[in-house]
Amino acid sequence: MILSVENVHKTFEGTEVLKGVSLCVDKGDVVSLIGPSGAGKTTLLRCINFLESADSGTMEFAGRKYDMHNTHTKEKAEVRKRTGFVFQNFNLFRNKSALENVMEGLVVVRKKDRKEAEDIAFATLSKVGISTSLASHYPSELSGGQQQRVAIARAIASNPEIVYFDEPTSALDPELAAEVISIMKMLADEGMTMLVVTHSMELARSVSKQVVFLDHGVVIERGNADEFFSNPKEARVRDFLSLERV
Amino acid sequence: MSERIIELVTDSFFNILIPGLTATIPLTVISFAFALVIAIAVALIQFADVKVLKEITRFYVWVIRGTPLLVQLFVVFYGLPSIGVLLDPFPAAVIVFSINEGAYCAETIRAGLEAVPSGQMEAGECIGMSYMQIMRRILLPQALRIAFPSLGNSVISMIKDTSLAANITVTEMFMATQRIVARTYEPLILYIEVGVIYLVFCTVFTRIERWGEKKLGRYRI
Ligand SMILES: Nc1ncnc2c1ncn2[C@@H]1O[C@H](COP(=O)(O)OP(=O)(O)O)[C@@H](O)[C@H]1O
Ligand SMILES: [Mg+2]
Repeated sequence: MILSVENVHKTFEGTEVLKGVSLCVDKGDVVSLIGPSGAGKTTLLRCINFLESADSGTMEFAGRKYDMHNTHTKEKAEVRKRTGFVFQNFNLFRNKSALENVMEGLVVVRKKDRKEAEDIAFATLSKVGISTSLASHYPSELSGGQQQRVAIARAIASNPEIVYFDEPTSALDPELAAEVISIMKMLADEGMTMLVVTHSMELARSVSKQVVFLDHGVVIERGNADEFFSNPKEARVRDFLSLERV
Repeated sequence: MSERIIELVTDSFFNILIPGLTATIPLTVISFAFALVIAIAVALIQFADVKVLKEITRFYVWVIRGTPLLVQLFVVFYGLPSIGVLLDPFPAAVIVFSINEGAYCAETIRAGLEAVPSGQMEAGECIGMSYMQIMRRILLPQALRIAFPSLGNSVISMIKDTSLAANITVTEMFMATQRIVARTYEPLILYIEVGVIYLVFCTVFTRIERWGEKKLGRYRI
């Protein structure tokens, strides 16, 4: 087990968005976190990477325990160095080229020399299908699908132990989403550990081994992906899936 | 009549232009450089919400923006000597212009920082960068890019505002013109002449600003 979070609570302006969520991810596992809009999926992911501070909850990551409410800056940095995060709207550094986006963490955080960082960045970009000629483009000069692939390259360049994805395809047109899904499938097949929040059942089905269904800040059902999709136990999950299928 | 005008203009031209090149422009460039340093520091303090310092910077911006530049020049140059602080005209002008322009540019840069989407900071955090690293490498460059046209305008205003330094005996272009007027009694022609030279300076700086913006334009914000 690489990651486990326990009993995460989070309230926004008096509304409890996460009501004691627990979750664990084994090494090499791909876990999809699905559920209706507003269920708290993004919030959970953001709490796990300390972008939000949870009201309470504990986290065990790579054998170390962390308090998710009072997390020291040093602890945050320590965890983030070993994880990757892919945002719904990419969030590529706008003042840096595709290549520099991928190099940034390697040079600034990992302290690799520029030449080595550049080699790794080119290799990682080519892995996600970004050619050397596109590498010098700025984010504004790339399509959404290309931007998201660069963002994935940025997240995986430093060999993280787990990569978090927050709705990685929902800002993309279907064809562009398909590009991103195929890359995530490739990563899953290579054994990359991933926790994926998604609306796309296509993505959930094609990459995940485990599925967690969240609604109103509570985990309603969890299980093996094949079982979950073919034979969901909870009525709410069945309703959700039948709606998503349309 | 027109011959006399030509003679007057040609005779005075270099006497006005030289102080422009040796005082007006250096005063502008040096003061603006210091102003930028002050402005970035103030903007960072305000953006990061640093407790007591933030209050101090707000006080500074409030005072500077709420009092005339001319009054600030007089306080420093004519006022401070009474408590034993004697400054030469040029350094006094540099100090006042830097502090004055710093307050205005601080607001511009702070607004620039606030205009950078929060996802940029978060993306930096997620790859493990520290606050200062993100600030230096991601946020500030974007904020300055956003603020660039507005900072360009500030430089142009400052070129014109340096004429106020004549009041504290800095021999810049305007002061030089006043002296020639006192000798020749030709205020109309000479003041138009110095106005035209200011216009040329401002036009040149506008061109430089446009050129800089094009250079920076490669990444769109
Ligand atoms: N920063 C915030 N401030 C206030 N409310 C928020 C904030 N972020 C999320 N919420 C609220 O929390 C709930 C869960 O949001 P979110 O985690 O984004 O859901 P999901 O990703 O499952 O669609 C929503 O009702 C949303 O309005
Ligand atoms: Mg969401």
